[in-house]
Amino acid sequence: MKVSFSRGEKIFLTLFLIVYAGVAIWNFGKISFPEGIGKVWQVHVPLPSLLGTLNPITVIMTVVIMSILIYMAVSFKRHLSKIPSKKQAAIEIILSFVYDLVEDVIPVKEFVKPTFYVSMTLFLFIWFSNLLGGIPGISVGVSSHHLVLNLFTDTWPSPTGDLNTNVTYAVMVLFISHIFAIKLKGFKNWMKGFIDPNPIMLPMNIIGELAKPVSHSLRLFGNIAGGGIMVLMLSYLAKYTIVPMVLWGFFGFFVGTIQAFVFSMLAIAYISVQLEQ
Amino acid sequence: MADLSMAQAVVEAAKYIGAGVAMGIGAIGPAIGEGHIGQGAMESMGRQPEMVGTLTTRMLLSQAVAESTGLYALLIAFMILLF
Amino acid sequence: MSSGVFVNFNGTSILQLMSFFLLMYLLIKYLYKPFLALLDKRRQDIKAEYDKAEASKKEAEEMKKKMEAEMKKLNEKISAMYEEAKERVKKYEENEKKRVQSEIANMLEKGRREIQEEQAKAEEALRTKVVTLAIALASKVIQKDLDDKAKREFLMNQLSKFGDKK
Repeated sequence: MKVSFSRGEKIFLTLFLIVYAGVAIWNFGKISFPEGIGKVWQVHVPLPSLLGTLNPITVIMTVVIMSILIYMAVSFKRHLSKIPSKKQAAIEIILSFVYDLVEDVIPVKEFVKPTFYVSMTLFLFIWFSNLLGGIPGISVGVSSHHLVLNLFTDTWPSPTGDLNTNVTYAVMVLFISHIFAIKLKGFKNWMKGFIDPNPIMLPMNIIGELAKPVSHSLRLFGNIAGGGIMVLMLSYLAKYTIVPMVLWGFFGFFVGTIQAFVFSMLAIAYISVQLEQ
Repeated sequence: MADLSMAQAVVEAAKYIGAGVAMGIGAIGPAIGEGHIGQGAMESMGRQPEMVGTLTTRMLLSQAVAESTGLYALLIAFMILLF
Repeated sequence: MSSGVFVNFNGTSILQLMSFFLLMYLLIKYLYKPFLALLDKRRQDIKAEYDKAEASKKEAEEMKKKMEAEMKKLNEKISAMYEEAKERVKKYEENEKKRVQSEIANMLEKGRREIQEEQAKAEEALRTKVVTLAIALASKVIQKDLDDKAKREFLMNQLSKFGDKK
């Protein structure tokens, strides 16, 4: 595939690279070992204990990604035509890829569309936040008393690098799969599924079900947060010159795409396992 | 860091060692398993090049499943470190 | 303002869940429904096009069949006409032949009759001449007083016998 840029894009990319290199040189002298590593900014709101704590960066980035996605969706709908443009064709390829996957895996026909909605939304959201985690941006760290804002020293803090997002989505997928199963088989048959070979297996089955969201969420979290920390460490070692850019590209784009795909595909697989009769 | 008594310091050191060992040993199994899965997938791709699309998705899925034990190790390492 | 460890689980999850459902709702409205409708429409269009092609193919086939039948009919007609023409030519030829033959026969007959008439005339003339000559010769040679009439009859008879014998 040949990539071609228009004049405006060339100017933008050149300016971006100049700014990037300038910030890298500027950072070169004053960089010290990142202080607030492993710490995140939290605010407290007057609510019961666990609910009262919020991670504002995650919320802000979620809103940003959501608005990007919704803007794309609206423009997709506005410029919809039977003979697709380049942009529409790209979106259609992604959508139809997931749709074909769902259609292949889900055994019951009336659950194809809901599963497609859930998994596709998961994929788009996680993919975009992982991609954002691959672009150098503002890193918001916390020292003991104040916020530390570093420009271009870290990737953008992606929402999937926060365990809240991943656990929520994994538990949600678990609940959705069981709700679909109850809808399909009825409550009694669904309960029978837990004592499937014989009643001795009941604790095993429950633990198996509970282990699903744990591995499901930690996989994404480990990859994204671990990748972010590794980029930070290696950037410190390489003093923010050319190496981190390559690392950002690798961790953000390659691992991010794979993990988003794996996350949504596992969601499809868990739902389809519950729907099998 | 604040001043620690000897016992607290030993516990603190043991935490770091324990987390590192848990993560390090826990990563061996998934690595071997994923390698086997990748080998099998590559061999069957070489045998049937027309099945590459299906095989790639299946390979990623099974690697994700094989990875889950490593992720339990990661969970344990975090729990040791942070709580 | 406070900080926490980066592995945490708190109220953010509720916001994430809400934002997920909001995002899903909006994406269904703006992205998935139009996309699936487009997919359906495209499938239907292709099906319609296919059906149309099939129908036109069928029509062409029918037309071809019709044309072939017509051609066959036409061929039969042509061959029938050819046969008829052949027959007619044959009949005409035969008629002509017959006519020519009969004409020839007529002409032959006519010629023969004419010849016969001529012959008869010539014979008659010859006979008369011969009789006259004979009588003159006889009267000259014999010089006898003959009953002219009786002798003439006698001679005539003789000569006619002679003429018959000829």
